[in-house]
Amino acid sequence: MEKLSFKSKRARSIFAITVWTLILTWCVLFLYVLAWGLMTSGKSDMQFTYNKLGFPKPITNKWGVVRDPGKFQFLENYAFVFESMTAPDSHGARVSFFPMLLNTLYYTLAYGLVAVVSPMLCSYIYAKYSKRVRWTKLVWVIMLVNMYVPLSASLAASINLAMQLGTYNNIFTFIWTYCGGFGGCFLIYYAIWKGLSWDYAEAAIIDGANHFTILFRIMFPMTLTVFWVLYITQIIALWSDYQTPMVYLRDYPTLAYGVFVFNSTVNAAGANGLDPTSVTIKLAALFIVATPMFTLFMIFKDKMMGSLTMGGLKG
Amino acid sequence: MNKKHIKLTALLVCAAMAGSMLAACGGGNESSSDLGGLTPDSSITDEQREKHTVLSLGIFNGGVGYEWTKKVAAEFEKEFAEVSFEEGKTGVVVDINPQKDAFSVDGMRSAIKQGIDAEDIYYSCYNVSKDFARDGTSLNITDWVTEDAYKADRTFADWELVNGKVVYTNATSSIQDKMYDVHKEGHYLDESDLTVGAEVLPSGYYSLPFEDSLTGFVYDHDLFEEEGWLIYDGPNGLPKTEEDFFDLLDTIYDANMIPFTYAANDAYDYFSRGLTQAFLAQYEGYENAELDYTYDGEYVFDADTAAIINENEEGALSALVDDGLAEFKPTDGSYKVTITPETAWVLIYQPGKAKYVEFMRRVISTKYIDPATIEGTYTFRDAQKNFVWSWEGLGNQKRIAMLYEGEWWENEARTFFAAAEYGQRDFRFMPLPTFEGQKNHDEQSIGNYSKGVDLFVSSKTKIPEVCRLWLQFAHSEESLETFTMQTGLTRFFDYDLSDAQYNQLTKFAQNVYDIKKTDKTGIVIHTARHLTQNHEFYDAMKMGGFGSDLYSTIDGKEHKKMLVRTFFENPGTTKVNITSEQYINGMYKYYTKAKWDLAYATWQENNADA
Amino acid sequence: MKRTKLKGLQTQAKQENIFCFCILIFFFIQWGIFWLYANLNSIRLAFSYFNTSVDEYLLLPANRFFENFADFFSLLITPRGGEFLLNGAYFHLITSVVCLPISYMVAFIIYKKLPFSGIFKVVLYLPAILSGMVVILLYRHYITALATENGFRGIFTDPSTSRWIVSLYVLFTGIPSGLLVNLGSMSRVPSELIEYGELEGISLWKEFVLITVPMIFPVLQVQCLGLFTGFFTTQGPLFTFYNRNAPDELQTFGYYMFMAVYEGVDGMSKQDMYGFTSAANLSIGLMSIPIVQGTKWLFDKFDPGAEF
Repeated sequence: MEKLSFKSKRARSIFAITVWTLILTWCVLFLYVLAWGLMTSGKSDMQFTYNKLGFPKPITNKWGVVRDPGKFQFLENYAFVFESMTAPDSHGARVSFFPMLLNTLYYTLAYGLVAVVSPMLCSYIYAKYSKRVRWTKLVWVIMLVNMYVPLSASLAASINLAMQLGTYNNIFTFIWTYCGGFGGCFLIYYAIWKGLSWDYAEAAIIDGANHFTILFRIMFPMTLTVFWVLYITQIIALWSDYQTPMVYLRDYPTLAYGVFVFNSTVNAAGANGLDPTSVTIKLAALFIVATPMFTLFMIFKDKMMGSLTMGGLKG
Repeated sequence: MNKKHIKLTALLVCAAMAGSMLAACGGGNESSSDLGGLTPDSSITDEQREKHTVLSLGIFNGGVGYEWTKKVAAEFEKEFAEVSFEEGKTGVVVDINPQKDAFSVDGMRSAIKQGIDAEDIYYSCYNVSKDFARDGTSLNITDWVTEDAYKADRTFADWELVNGKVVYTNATSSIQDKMYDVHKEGHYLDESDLTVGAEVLPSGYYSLPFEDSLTGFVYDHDLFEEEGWLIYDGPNGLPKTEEDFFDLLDTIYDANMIPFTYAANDAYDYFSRGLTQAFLAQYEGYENAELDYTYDGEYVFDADTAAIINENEEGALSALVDDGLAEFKPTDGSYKVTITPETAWVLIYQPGKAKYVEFMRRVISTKYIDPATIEGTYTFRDAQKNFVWSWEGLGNQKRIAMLYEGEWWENEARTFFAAAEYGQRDFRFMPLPTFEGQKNHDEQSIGNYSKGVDLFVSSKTKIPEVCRLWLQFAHSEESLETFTMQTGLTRFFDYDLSDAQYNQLTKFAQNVYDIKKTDKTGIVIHTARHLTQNHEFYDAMKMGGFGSDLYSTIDGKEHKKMLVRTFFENPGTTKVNITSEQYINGMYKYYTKAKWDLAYATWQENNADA
Repeated sequence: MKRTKLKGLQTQAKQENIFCFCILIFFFIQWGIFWLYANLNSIRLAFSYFNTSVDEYLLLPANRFFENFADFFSLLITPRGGEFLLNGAYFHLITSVVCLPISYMVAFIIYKKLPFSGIFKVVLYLPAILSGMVVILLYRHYITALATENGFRGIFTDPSTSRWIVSLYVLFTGIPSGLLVNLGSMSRVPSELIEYGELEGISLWKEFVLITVPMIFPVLQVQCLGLFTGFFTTQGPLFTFYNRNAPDELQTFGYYMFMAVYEGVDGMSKQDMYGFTSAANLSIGLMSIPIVQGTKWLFDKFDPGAEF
């Protein structure tokens, strides 16, 4: 689609200008709050207490003594967060930053992978085999049941089930919960498979390839872009997910949960003039957990934003 | 800025983040004793473990910190450096493990039972004495507590090795001799406490008191002197009566200062109980206040109170008389009620409780409280910080005159003081004023928050001999002095500081010491009996309150929030304006006889086999 | 020849069957356990209670069989339960009635590539990248700081302001919601139609209302259905904002149920609440059937039936 400039009469309509202005205002406000948060994460506690909104400035007491020089202290604050951000496991012992990082990496990479691969496989079967292998239509029946039957296991039942299956509080086995083949990516991938010609597969069959070979060496490689987009989207979502580790994986706290706990910390004293309960430190923790995903997004944003649509992906 | 630049910038940001991560890997923290949630790694090397016996101490890492433990441990290691406790090893090293969440009741119990990450001795933040004795978590330490281990001057006795065991040579007193009676009673468990099914465990001590700290209004004495506010008839010119107290608060407010701040969200559970207990003990008298926990005694309701009871529970008092559980005195219309677990519902009508509600309704007012406390994120750290910094006139901060906190607050708030300032400012505890109608007209008291938190020895310790020596060493005169010198807190044991030591304390610590150890201040401390002496039904019941939290019924809804929190959230200026009268009437509708009877019957049913 | 061909086809069919079976069997089992059994388990829990002596969930006795459902409905008809429902409906309506149309309009303007659309698209998508928790906490700290500096305390806890300030957050983050999905749907509208409209001189508003929305109606329907199933169970952003201290006047049923399972409520332990929340979940599922069907019927009734 061609760009529409304000020179065009259509673009100068009340509707367009109103909504465009709303978007502009929204973006400015959001970026402002983000910038404020970043700036504040580099302030000292005293700076923030007595100068919440502005840039750091010297704070002098009533006797003229400079109590705070008014300088940024990003390194100290962020280093302190890395040192002191911990999350309790189910026994109350504190898990420090690096173990949380490892948990997060495993959680996002492994869980994200199965969350994408599982519906990819199911949708492939349905898209390509349902006409020849009639019983595979069951896949669609299950999809409809999932979508339209208004039942969902309560959180309590899910926890109970996880305990029964032995997946509760076990990051290695809890992954089975994410291996659902009928999840959100099913429809997206289904549209992609439908768009791929079966001729490639027929040619491969003639050459003696089996169906596994067709899937993994012919069809799947043609959807790599989509796969990566979905995978990265899953990683981003899982990186920020704190509730699942909080409820199901207490002994494997992730960074997101660590940050959440850290932001709720009210009863930890500080050291070296730094205080984990101060807003500046809490904001530093937020930015620490947000930065990797922000970086990932900025590197892949063209692919992600250009490719992802509902009911179809541009490969 | 093209796309490449954007990507590069994003990567640089990530690199900067990684840089600060590496910076964090560098040094450790100097004042790690103050790290509430942080857990420094063990400093015991493998080589030390091979050569020396390791004594593991689990310290609840709260306001007290554990710097004091390091100092005592250093002396302990020196004392027994040449003694062999295990084959192939000489001397002992003390491994201090400061934790917070890990040392929850369940955390400690499961660590000991499973033998995973368990310590030998725990300095906990809980009253676990009876429970841990009954379920075999804690060790019976009676012999160690009653063994003479101190000289006449209460210092650690001399000793010699007899067949490899440390035997004292000139000891004349024991740990038990140093304990206050209330703690001896509370910590000594007898048969009734230790009957588990058909088994009766040996009576004795299974724990010792660790911390029993005061909580109350901490006032800035320098400010009060400067402003000339010490004009009342109470101790040191502090308010004597309730009206004096509110006159003071109004005076502070009129001087464009903030009367007090407190930890809002954190305070509800901790401080309000201390205040409730102090108030009720002062108003009703200690023994009457204790009825709320023991359900064993008698209470006299005057005619006015009896009328209120009859209004809310028609015929209930007469029924008690008929059952022989109450005595009516026609001359003054009073009822003397025998308090048992079945009749204890009537205690909600103690006048002290209504008076407490009225008092707190006046205290929790937007006029008197630091407006900052209304923030949902306001913590005890913010309260301490604002209180300390308000002295300096920073920003637009109004001066704050008082802080509702515990005895440990100054030690905990060290980081907020400028280097030269710590210990120099004069903070003191203000006792409650006297109230119209209180049993002992002149008494002004401060509450004990912790109701005694325990230290105990793991039943699974492999080095009981070392634990014995540690307990005895740590309760010697010199070790107890070290504790007070380091933390500013005073433990409830019989020990004294020399004048030189006393002068080294901060002014606040001196004030605490004076209150706890001397009669200088004229302030009474009501130390509640140890939880081991509560009636079992108190522990089992889930109605809240009856001497601790005071819930109510508001607008027909059960209001299961602590009183202080309720008033705090409804300070009179928002749309819901709860008066003390409303609250009190609601209280009577919440704690009904019917509810109590049902709870008691259920408890009896569930404990039929016990 | 025919027999050979037939045999070949049969072999191929067999191979396909084996292949499909090998792939799908795992997922059928997974679905059987994690959806079917999970839901059956949830139904069973709805009729169970936690027995502390054996540390297990046992079926309720006959005379108390529906106790959990009774407790749920008793709560619903109390003023407190009513408040939960109203709050849930309130947050829900902000999202569905206010934010949804605005989000579509926003997506439309981005889709029309008005000036700075590229940058807007990236910034609007940032909340999804930074995570809800980060955005909520950033918002909370900023608003508190702003209010404090202007002499206003307790903006999140004062009953006269807490609702508005949380609603503002819901509104703020609801505006860019579903941006990529909406953009993707709009990009599938045939360009010939757009060009035709431009030639006819229709305004952007008319294009939005008469062309774009009808064309993406199925997507809108799916989104709305998804929204309405959360009518009763929405937590709102309460837990992240307030943790366990959400003001009473804001609490939703979803928040209450989450807290019940997370740490117990009203003096009951979380184990004691599992039966109640399962019963509540089941009841809500059944109660939402007419709402979902009603929504579907409404959409079908007003579906312009545009196809492309």
